[in-house]
Amino acid sequence: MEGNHNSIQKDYYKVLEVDYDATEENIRLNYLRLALKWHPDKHKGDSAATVKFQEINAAYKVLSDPAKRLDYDLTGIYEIDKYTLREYLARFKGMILTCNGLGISHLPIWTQQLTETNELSDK
Amino acid sequence: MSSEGEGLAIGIDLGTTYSCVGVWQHNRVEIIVNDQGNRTTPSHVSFTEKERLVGDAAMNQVARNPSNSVFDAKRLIGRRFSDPLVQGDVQLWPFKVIEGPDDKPIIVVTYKGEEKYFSAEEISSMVLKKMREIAEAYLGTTVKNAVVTVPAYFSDAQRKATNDAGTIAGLDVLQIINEPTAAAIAYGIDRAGGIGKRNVLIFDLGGGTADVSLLTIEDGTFNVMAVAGDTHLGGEDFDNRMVEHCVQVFKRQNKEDVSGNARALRRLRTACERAKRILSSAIETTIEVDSLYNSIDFFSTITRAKFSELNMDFFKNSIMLVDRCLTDAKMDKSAIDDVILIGGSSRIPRVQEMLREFFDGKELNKSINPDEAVAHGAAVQAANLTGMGNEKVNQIMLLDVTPLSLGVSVNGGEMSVVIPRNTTIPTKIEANYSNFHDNQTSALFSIYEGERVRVRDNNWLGEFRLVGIPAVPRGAAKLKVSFDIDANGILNVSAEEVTTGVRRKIIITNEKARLSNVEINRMIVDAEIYKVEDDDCRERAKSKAALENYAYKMRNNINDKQIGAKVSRASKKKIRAAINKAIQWLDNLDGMELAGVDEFEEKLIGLKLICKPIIANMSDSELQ
Repeated sequence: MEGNHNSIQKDYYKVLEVDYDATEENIRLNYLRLALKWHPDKHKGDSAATVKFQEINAAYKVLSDPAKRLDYDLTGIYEIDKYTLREYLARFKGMILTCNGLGISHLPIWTQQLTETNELSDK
Repeated sequence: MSSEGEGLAIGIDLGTTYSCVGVWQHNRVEIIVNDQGNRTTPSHVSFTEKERLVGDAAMNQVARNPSNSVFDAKRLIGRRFSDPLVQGDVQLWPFKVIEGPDDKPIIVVTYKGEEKYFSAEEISSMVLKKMREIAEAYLGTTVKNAVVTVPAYFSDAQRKATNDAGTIAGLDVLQIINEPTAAAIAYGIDRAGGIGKRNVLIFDLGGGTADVSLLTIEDGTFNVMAVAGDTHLGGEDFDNRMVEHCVQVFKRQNKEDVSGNARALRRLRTACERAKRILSSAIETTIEVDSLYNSIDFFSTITRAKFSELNMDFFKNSIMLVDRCLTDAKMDKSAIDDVILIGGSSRIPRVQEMLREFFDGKELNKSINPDEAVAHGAAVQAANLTGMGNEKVNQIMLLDVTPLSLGVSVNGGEMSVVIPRNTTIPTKIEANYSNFHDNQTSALFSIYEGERVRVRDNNWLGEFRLVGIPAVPRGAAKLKVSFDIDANGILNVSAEEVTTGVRRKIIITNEKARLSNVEINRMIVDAEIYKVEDDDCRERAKSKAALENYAYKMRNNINDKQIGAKVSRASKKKIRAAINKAIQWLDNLDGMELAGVDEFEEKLIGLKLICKPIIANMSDSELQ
């Protein structure tokens, strides 16, 4: 067998109910709040709660790690028509700023991704 | 809240050498003392000609009956007989372990003159049952629900086997939680709310296992960042080294080799364990065993330095776990707010010194009881799960992690990790695979746990075959595998083939290392039989004691001048004869199989009838 992993299609930011430009602390606090709400120990035998809890964990694992979060921001699955303009701008603010030349050291990655982003938004 | 026992849930720390039970009551945890008044109970089960003993009673006769006294079941549970660690342990144990079906280790003992075979799960279930009885005696109700703890580094098979042991003991295991996490709860519960966010490192060095856990505690949330451990490192290993040392000393002193004598080794080990404990407070102590071998006494002194030297590699290994845990959590040691010691062996001064050195002189936190913290935390979690705790308890949230990476074998022997280690549980992760050959119609999924690149270096958990894959070229079939770890840290795997839209789901059921449902049910029945036999033995002993007490009491009464004066000479003679007859009968029982409860009761009633004249003349105070 040959293997490769796929990522879950849900938007991690929406799962954690945070803004796209949320701070790390904000993400952590929201994670704890949601995890407590959906923790399987508090919902005995309810598999829907467990699934929800697992989603929250998967999202937090990525968004709590700066490197993984950046990677997700760049490559994560998103559907353009599901965003409002404000959300869209918030999510890609970093890239737009970089495009304007405000120094972020990962310039090559950002520009590379940006073209793809443009292609997508053209469709 | 109900006061019925049905709702009560206990927390059990099932240790390698000692176990401990606690319950949440009156807004706090009570660690329950056993029938001997001890707060921890030896994880020992002993089989004799007459009865089965569990706990202190089993431990007390271990030197007399070494080959039928079983301990260390936790070192066998969920392991294969061919496991090198099991092979090593078998050499040291005085009881016999043989290879059973599917490479399962089986313990062989002689019980009531008959050879009996037990799995490690059954022995552990006897200890769990004992802990349950201790709790029931204290609470005065039946207890069914329990949270049972396991070392954080326990494998999937070890967790499943522990869960099975609980089932055999008739317990409803609410959850299996990790020992260091339980200890963290014990530490955090009294400080919840007032401590802010703290990074806590739990260093758990017990009788058989070592665990290191790094948690972030904040307002009742216990978030495990990483765990590291060794399921075969603890006080028992230190004892073994001391015994080896003493055997050498004895050889040098007397030119005699005791290493083949199970009874001598057992007595030596008991003496060494005692010396080890003393060395935690004294600098030097003696190891003495009278007529150890061929009527030669053993006498030797051992210093704390010598003890440390004998075990230095073990100590170093335990400190290395701390380093690995910090690396996994991507945390610097300076970020740790508290280093908490638990487990009996964490008392060893040299270990504490090394730990302090590692943390650049940081003071270690010894504020919680190292022997009871785990049961304490388990009891809190039991109350949390059943909703029996107070507000503080109900706010608790555990976010634990899986200790080992889990994956499937791909491309002929490579490990493809599906769930990386230190992933928060419960978790469910899906991975996609495709066929390796053209027109392959079935695929074998071999599941492994471990960190090595080649699956053969990892621990095999089980396998299953997915059939009915459509005949398509290599790489065209889509096989989706889903790994699901529940809150107990136990894994379930399913797979489906999604190319044709037809989905098939298969859940691993035929794991060979695990007990089947049929076997578990048989063991539950066996456990009931053993319990009936134990109860019967206890009842007989009790009714024998009742008859004996009554006979001697009446003899004293009749010899008492005041009471005796009130009874006629003739009836006095008759009573004396009856009492003597009863006592003689009892004396002759000695050494033989005990008589049945009925027989004792019958004799007691008969004696009571005859003794009536005395009773009638006795005042209330004399009757007491």
